[in-house]
Amino acid sequence: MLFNSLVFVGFITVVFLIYPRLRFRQQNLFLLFASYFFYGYWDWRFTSLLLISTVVDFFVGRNVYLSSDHKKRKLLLIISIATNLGILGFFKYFNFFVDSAGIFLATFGLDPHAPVLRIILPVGISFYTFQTMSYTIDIYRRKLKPTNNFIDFALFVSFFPQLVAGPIERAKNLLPQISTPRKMHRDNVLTGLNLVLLGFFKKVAISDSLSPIVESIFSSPAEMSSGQLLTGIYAFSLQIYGDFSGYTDIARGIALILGFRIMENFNAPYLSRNITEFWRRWHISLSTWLRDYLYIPLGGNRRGKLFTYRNLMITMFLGGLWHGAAWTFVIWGVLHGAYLSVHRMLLKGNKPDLLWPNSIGGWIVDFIKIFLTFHLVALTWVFFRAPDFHNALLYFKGLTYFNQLSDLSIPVLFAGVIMLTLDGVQTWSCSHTWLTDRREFGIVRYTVAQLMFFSVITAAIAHIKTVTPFIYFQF
Amino acid sequence: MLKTFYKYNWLRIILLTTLLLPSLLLWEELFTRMLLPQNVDSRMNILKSDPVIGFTYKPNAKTYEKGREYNVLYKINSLGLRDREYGPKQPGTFRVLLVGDSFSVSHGIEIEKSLSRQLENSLQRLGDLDNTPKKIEVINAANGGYSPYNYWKSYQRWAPVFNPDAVIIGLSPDDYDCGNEDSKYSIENGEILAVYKDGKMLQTGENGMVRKIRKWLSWNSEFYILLRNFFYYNDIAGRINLWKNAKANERNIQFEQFLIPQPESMEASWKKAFSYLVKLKKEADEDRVPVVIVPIPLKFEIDQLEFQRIMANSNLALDEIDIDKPLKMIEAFGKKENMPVFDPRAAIKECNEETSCYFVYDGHWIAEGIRGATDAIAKKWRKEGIAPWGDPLSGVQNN
Repeated sequence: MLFNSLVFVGFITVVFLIYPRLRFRQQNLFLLFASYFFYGYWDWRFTSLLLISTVVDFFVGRNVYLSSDHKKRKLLLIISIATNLGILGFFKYFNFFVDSAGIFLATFGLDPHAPVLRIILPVGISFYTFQTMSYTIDIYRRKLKPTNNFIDFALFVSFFPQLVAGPIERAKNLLPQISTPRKMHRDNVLTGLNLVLLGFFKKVAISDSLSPIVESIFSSPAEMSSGQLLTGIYAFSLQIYGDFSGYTDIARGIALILGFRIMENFNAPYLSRNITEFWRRWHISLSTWLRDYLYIPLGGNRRGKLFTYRNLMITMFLGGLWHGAAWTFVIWGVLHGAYLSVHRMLLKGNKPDLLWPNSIGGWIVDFIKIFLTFHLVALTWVFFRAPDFHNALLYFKGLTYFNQLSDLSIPVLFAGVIMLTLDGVQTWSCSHTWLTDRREFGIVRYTVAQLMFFSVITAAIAHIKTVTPFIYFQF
Repeated sequence: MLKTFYKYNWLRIILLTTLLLPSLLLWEELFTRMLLPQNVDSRMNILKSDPVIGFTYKPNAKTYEKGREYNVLYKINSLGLRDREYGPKQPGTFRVLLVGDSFSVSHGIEIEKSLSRQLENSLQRLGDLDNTPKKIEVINAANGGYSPYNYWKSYQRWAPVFNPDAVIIGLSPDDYDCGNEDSKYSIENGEILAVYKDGKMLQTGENGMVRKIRKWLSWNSEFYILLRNFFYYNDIAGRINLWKNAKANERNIQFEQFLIPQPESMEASWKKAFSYLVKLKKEADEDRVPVVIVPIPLKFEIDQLEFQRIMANSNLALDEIDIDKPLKMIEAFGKKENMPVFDPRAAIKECNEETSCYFVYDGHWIAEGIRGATDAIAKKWRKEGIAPWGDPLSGVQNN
């Protein structure tokens, strides 16, 4: 079920009507049922995967906590990780590995045409398997107490606002909220509605409007001028940001209306002054997950520079693979690993950068840093978006011709100005809620909300026949 | 007092919204221009006046013809035809001029699957089989809303341009409702505002001021065009009518009214319509160009169940109407005037048994229906021995 579909409007209306009329425990049961319905609406058969992950981690978590035998605890942890990664590996990577093996065999003249299964990728599988794994690992590390209530845990795994595209919540944040009585407060509802509006604005008005431009440029890069290819890069950078952060805002808004506060996933990422800062601001829930459960266990930066670079490369390689079962994603991840390593090499000390420095010189330096970081990230998106490696190379080749740079598209620049303004004001005002908290910015917030609301309606009218799924649903 | 005012939050909201309205409209205009440009001509802005035919498509225009069941790009060539560009006729080319209405222009169908293109392919296929050394071109000179008067005028308009070797008239059952010499089309900015027939205005637009505002908006506001396209393309008015009319089923009713019930004046009206086809035939004879009639059936003419349903909805007994009456009249006319009539009904009926060959809501035929028809037409064409298989006028003489 897509947030930007009429079915979801009906679904959420029913949820909002029934939810406040229920008692606490009934609310959890109701939300669990709603979450399974939400997920099963796409394909009911895959709710069984959700259930398997839930059952395994619930019981493993409890036994890991109760056991004092280190070997047994480790074995249980392995069972949990193997189950989750097994599900993820089979459903997400089976085709990829079989195809890659086929290509590998073909290079040696062997027949790669062995019969293979074509596996459908269950939506959101990467998100909920990571979320449920973090629960067991935290218990194993004695950082978390397991819940004894299966319904609460099942709701933690399947909570519908963030089920299919994150944020990848941590149990220590979400579980206590699930286990405690909640109420729908007026302030929460209004802020939540504002968040939902902001999310729809980013998704429907900005991202979906850029979608045809991105599609036309990326589908035939060889026929495009350098200016058009550059437009495509800017357009996709804005599209994916609007799409994913829009989804997160809608998810956070809906959760807040229901009385839950889920984590932020984006913090003006394109205003980052270096690549390390970018990864602190982009897809925060994944980057912190990778940091806590992969980078640090690998040794982090504790064993010298070379090991740090190795760990960064491994983490980002797997981070790329997490996004999709294709070599383009792997290259994208590896490139980011390389950027992070190079940045770490160049980093002198850990002096924190001050945003919005007072001197004009500082502003200029920061602007140059932001400009360079954005373009580095944006160029790397080509691997993320291109259908295959060959097309990505064609794309870069076309860029190097430097012909017709005047073909830059005004709509893309316009969308860029809007997104930059939204993030700029957020950073300038040091407020993540300037557009959503009704106590802030009074008439400005109200005016912007009106503009966003009507833009969403207009864009929805324009896109009425083409409901565009969220990009991150495929991961 | 101000404090009291501020207590009433809703009052503040209304006041703010009112103050914001002009800014909102300006923003919407900017937003639409920047991110949602309506960079195709509106369907309503695609016509232009023509001194001979009355109206044609605007040369080089393009628009999306959208409906509930289709979303097709119409590209108009430099002459104002929904077709590819044509140069001077090359030796060894056999040209067919197709005149007709929305069925012939293939409303809602991609040009590659249109009647002209599929007929061209079918004739070429048969020609190649028989080693006829001709390249066949079927020129789509049809337009939605044309009637026999326009067909005759289309021949006058396009025959000197294309030098066709044959003419096909796609004759629809509603063609008895025909324009004439007095027909005047009031067209502004690509839109038919009114049609005058026999001195009477048949369609009227809004009154002067509303029309002026609409016109100004349609030329100056992308936001207005977006909203207008939304209403038009999604058939909002049609949906409201469907919803309002409890009796209406989920089906098209725009063609039924011409045949069910059959108007008393139908025979007389057909006579008038045929008189224009006679004129066309006379001029074509002078050019030694054979003329073929293809009577295009409506869905309920070939689908007995559909016919029964419509009759029941109209509270009519099945024997109260002879549904084949228009076809019989056309066949009799063709025989009298020496014009072969290639009736594709049997082929379309066969196709319709497997899957519907018509748009459900819209009522026009779809690509599958056209495919069945064109194969049948091409086979009859060959059987009749019309050029390029025989002498240019052999079909006429044989008939």
